[in-house]
Amino acid sequence: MQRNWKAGLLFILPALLFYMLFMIVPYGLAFGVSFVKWRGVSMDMQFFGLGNFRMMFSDPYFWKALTNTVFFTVCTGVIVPALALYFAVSVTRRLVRWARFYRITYFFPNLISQVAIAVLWWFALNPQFGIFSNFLRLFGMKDLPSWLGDPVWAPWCIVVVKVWAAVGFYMVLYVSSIEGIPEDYYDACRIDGAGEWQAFRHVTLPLISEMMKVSTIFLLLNGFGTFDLVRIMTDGGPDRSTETLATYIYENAFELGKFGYATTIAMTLFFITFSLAMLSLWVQRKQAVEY
Amino acid sequence: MKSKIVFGLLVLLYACSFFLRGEDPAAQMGDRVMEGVFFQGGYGMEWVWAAAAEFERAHPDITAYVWGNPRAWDQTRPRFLSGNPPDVFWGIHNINFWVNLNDGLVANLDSLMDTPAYGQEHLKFKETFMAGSLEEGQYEGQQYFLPITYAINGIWYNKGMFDEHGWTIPATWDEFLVLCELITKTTDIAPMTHQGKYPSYFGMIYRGLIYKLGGEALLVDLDNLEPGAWQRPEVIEAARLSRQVIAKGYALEGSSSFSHTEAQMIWLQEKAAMIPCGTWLESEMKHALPPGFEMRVMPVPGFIDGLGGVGAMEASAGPAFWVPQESAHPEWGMEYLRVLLSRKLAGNFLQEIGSMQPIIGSDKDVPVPPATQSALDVIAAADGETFNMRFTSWYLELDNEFDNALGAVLNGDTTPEEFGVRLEAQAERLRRDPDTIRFRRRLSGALAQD
Repeated sequence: MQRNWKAGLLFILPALLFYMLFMIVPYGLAFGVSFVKWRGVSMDMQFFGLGNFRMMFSDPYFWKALTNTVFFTVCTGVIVPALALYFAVSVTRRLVRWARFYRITYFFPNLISQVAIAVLWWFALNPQFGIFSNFLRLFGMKDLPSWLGDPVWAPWCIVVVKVWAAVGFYMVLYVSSIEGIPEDYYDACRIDGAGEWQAFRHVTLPLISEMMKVSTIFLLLNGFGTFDLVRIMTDGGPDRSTETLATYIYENAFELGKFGYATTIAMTLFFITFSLAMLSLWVQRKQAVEY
Repeated sequence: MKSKIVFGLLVLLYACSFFLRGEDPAAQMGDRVMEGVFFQGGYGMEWVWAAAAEFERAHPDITAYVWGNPRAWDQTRPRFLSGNPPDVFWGIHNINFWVNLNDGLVANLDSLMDTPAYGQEHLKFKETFMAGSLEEGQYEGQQYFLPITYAINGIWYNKGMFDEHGWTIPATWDEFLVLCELITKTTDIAPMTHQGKYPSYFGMIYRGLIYKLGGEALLVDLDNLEPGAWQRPEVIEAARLSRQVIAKGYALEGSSSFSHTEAQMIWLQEKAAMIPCGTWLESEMKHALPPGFEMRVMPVPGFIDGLGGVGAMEASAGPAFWVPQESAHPEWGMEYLRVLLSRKLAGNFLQEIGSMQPIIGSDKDVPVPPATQSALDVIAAADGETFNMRFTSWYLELDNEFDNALGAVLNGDTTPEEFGVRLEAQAERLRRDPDTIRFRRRLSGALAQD
């Protein structure tokens, strides 16, 4: 056992060193940077204590970005699992025809980069030549919103794109989990006279609860890390209506040259995400169901 | 045994990585290398390489290694941190010139400005620049940055469309509104479109309005963050007039979401008659120009009783090129700029790219693109009266808030009064922030330290 322990450590050492050097050490250094004023173009740093944190808490744009980030996270956190679960059950339980075709189709967005998705939807949502507006005009609709140029519609457009881009991935996760459920349980349900909905509630849902826990964490990380879609489609506008913490961090660091302040926001984002992930795990701490 | 072989191969591969890796091209050229890094964008890189070739002709013992890409600053920033920047630099995107200057990254160019101009040795280098074009690159009266182009902003229109419909160029704002109403009533063409995703473009109209209402003194107060300046009546009125264009339905539906290329493409497709932009418009859209399309520019319409001239144009030559203080050969970087901004190469720039550099006479040696010529003609017609604002370069937080607030006014999400309140609040935050680098602008003069 002792020989195995040493051999095991030897094997993971390179990866562990890599992880320490490129993840843990930068996080530690970044935590230190949040206590200084630093423009990021020279090594001139001034200790600022908790000044960056005080500035952050009194910054209305930070709160606006946080609100938007929570909005995106909650919306995708509710809609994506619901849709993904619905699609997963439909294709695994053969509730629709051509289930295999739908498996591939719904997963298709995951084969495209986020940048390509953003550009694709940016063009699709163009009020003049975009497919969406012109489709609505076929039905006689006029005075359509400018979608990404409207502070009310723009956030919802981002939500739609995020859901479209993410649902396929989670569908695949749930499909793999559902396919691991023995068919005997569903046979037993049928024999007892239970319908598909009861089978879903009492068999499917409990037995994929572990996968739901994992997907919740992924969705939290995805939601709080929203950057590329917003950056390309709206650049945080109109008037910061789609600004997220990630885009606000980018603005402060790379546009305004406030690396210390940007790092403070980044650290705050890290602690929020970490805390929510731990909370999620604690809430869902029930032991896995086994029949 | 198998695991030992695999382990050995991995170690060998790792050892090879020390030898089989990329080399620094500049280091391979030896010691006598002048390195320049430039933003690669709509202007391309040919003009940079042409200047490098000219530099090497003038200095056969020095190799000019110039390169660029769209993220020149982001990629070169670590070199500034490690103390080995290139000898000359131009970058946009995420670069704050004045922060770099304040942190000691930028070399003083005063010695360069007093050297004889390349190809015009009877003149000093600084005497070859158009009047006023060096000011935006100065701090405390000393030169740190040099401009790349002389940009003239205004309202661009389709000459062919105007001639076909018999529309006349409006001189005053009232005439402009009458024209817009006429276009709306008699055609399916929208009077105008704009690059709504980036409100700074409509800001060209807005800045024209505040100049023509309040004159240069107002612009100076706004640039100097004078308390209360952003709530002056002219500032609010200009916001109201800007909103008026949108509220009356004169902007093409959906304009608030258009990027710059989308709006400009739609304008080229003749769905709108006018669009705000600068003299880079023709070169930026040259690959999409319909055959026979003639673009011309008009000044932002003014007011008979305004303090600024009715026909005045916004013209600026913002900071662009600089020599890093800690570069290995700053004197070579300065020499490269002397060559790059010579009359001959500026003429080539105008001819090949279609944009004008602020070098006197560069438009006399080569055919000037009609679009650029129209801008020069408008300035001449206004007896050379031009204006510009500096806060867009000096105070990026204020510039960002300006864009956001102007966009909100145009969309009708905020009132003109609230627009003034927001900007005054941002100006106040900058006044109170001890880390804000303060600038001072004088009426039609050089900058002075605050």
